[in-house]
Amino acid sequence: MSFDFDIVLRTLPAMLQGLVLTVEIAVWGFVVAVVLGLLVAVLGLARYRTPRWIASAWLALMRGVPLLVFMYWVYYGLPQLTGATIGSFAAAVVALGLTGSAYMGEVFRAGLLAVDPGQQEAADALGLPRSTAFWRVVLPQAARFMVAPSVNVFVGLLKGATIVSVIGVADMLYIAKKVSVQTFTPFELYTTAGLILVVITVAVALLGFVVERRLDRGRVRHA
Amino acid sequence: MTANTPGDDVLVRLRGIRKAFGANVVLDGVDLDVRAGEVLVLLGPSGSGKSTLLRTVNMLTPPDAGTVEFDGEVLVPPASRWPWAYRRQSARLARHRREMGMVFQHFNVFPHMSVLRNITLALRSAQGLSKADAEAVALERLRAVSLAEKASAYPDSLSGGQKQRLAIARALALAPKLMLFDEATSALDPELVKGVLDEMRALAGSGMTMIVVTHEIQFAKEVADRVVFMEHGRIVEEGPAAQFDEPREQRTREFLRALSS
Repeated sequence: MSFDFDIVLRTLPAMLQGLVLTVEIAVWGFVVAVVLGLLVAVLGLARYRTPRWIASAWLALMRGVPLLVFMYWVYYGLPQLTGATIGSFAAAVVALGLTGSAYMGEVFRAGLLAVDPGQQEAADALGLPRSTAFWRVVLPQAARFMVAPSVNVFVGLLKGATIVSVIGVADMLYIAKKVSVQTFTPFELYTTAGLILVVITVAVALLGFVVERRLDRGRVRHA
Repeated sequence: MTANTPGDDVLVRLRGIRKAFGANVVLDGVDLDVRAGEVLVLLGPSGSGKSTLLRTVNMLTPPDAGTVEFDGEVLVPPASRWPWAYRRQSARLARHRREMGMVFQHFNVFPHMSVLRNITLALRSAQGLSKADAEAVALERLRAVSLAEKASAYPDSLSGGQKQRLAIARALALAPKLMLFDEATSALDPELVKGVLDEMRALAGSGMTMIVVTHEIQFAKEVADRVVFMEHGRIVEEGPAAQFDEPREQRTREFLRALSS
């Protein structure tokens, strides 16, 4: 058996087009996950019991339901409940974003807890408004601890975004599957798809590294 | 609702302060007055409650019982279960805290901000100064602690002594009526202690009201108007600094002997 490069080259443009969709879904899902995740983290660290309870329940639910099931539920289930239909792209973003919000919530929470409590105390002692203490003192320092785990969450969402063909998004894997069935070249096309995703995750990891260096501005690096 | 009457110049009034962490009673009913302009030094073995007492003054550690009065007003730690009331309480406490500077053992400068921004942050966000005004005040404060040329540097490039002087400048920038020092020199290398003590000495000389927790006994004798010796969460002995050359209490003598040996 030989590796059919020809079919790879001929299918690649269509696959890359599909890849754009996959990446778009993952990026939008990540944006939703970051915004909601910050909210989940703040609720989880609240003084009051009720918001903390809501955050734990959200975490249990979103971490517990498999992404595939959740995607089906948003795409097929929600319209039955509400009567309004939802596009497959939007459904994928919603499913990824809400699932990701649980993971990002934990990333934010762990990051916020990793900041030296003396920083909050110094802000308190200076009489800084609570919002200033959070946005200007604690969160920027927590960000340093959040980059690496955030990259993990994003990569997880990107991989999750490769199953969106189940709700009819013509993404990269959808193209690979369609063409490979017609031409009997699953090995070539799935290898290609896998390698493309590896390249992207490596690129994202490098981006995370650059962001970390940027956040280290002013910090003395030890060895 | 000021309780200040003419002739009554008490700036801080602590009454019946109690604090326990779990079963560990750290403050066991402390009464203490600090007059305006007074330099008060708190001495005592570790675990005696002196740092905790200092932290109750600005409510970083709210007491379980007792009252803290600052400048004639009773301080209330934010405790309401209603968010809007909690916000109002913490805004009121923040207003009082801006009138009390605090210097920590581990400096607690903001490592992600330049030296200058460490100082301008509170001036701008809490006192509402413009950028230019805040920077003018900050630079003046930095000059006073010989750090003006470090204005754009980040704290990690400073020595421990410089960080602590920055922390002092940061606290003083808000023009507080009271300064709290929590073992401000304990984390410093020996050769850097003097620079920080010099700043504190100058501040005491300028008439600032200060409560100082320290183990620097010579410094205490030199600048303190009054020394308070604590043990087991209680005040054992208090009096003018000279009294501690010949302490009345056996326990105080033992402690001072252990310090000088």
